[in-house]
Amino acid sequence: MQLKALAVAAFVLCAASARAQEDPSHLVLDVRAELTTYVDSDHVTVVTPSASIAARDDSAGWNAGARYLVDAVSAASVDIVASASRRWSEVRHEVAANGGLTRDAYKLNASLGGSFEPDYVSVTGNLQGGWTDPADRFTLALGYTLGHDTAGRTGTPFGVFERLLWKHGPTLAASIVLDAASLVLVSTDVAFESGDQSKPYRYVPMFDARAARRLENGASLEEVNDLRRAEAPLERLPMSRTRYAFTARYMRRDGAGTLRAEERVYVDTWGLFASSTDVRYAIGLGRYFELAPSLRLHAQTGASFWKRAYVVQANGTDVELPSIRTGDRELGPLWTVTAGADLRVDFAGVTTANGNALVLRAAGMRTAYLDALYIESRLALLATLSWIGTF
Amino acid sequence: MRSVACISFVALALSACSHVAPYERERLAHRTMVETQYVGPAEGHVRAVQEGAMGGSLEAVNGCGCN
Repeated sequence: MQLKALAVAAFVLCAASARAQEDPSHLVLDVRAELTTYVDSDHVTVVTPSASIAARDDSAGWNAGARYLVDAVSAASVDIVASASRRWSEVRHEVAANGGLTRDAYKLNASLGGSFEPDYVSVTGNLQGGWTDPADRFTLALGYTLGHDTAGRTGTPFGVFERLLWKHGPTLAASIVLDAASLVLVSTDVAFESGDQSKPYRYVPMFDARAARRLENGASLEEVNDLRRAEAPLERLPMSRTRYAFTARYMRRDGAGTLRAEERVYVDTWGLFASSTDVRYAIGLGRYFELAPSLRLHAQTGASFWKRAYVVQANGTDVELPSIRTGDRELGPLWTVTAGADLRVDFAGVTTANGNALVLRAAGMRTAYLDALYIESRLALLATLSWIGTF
Repeated sequence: MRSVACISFVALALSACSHVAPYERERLAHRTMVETQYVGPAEGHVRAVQEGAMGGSLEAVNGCGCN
């Protein structure tokens, strides 16, 4: 997989350098290397190095790019402890490539990416066409995404055990220039998902009705173990899901600062409703520095089938389990606040098109789970160091 | 009724457009105005895993077995 990513990157570099020899003035190369570290209070650590390269020639009307990313995850979360498992480590590889053509007012972009874990493979492709009006006042874009996921179990070949998921759907977007300093972007996404999304490792504790009433939000592992029944069936989710998202983004640049405000409203057929609000202000500090504080608030209701404690119907020796059940806390009601800031250093000065930049981003996230077992909240810290070169 | 509302919304949005001459587009072309995402792929993935919602990025996002 690493060889494939390197081959793609080498191809893009060769194509770009060949083009540069023909006409060096029009080719722009963006190279980016990044290292992100994530730690949280639920004993999860993720280290993510990534590298990407993008080449474009605006006068010839083409662009191409490739990206490679590795997630090294180490987790001993409460869910792992609750299933009597030991600390778990895994590496995920992600590769992606994209290319596009521009002819007059029309743009066509295509991308293909894959995510690879020992027990999960996901491949996603996207095709997007765009049109800009002759006066350059607005751009319309229509895209379609098709993806296929295969979930398995570690140590078991996919042919022996696999769960398949198909995902596809359109995106319609418009970018509107309001004046010489501001623009608005609106987009609508629809995603149709069909297949089994249940996790093959996730066991859901079961309770009698009386015991379930005694469990409060954030009930400890000991309390759950005291009250749970012997049954612990695997998670089972509905076999289809349709997601709808509407996003509006306002951007304005005044003087040395850029304001970005974004709101996404989301709803799906599992009954989950969410709002994500994101505000960022990037301000230049002299010739070399830029500081960009940001704040994000995500809040959501639970899915219609979400229960803090699932109740079995017992009649003598007959036990009836809930047909749909999950322990995925991200399907329950929650809110997350993320506060962060980026400090960017442009070594050649912010007004220079070519050069090198270092960006340090630090962010803190607090999630409150409003109706869940084991934990009521999670604190997370995330730090990213990026080097960006433009040639 | 819904299509009428959609057409009205688009017409209203487009009526807000204004023509900006190429020599006045310096601020619109600034890096901070054209980037689609201000976070990198790793933080974007954390959000995708920890939020029950998706969409709005204008980019194809891979699935994973992370949560």
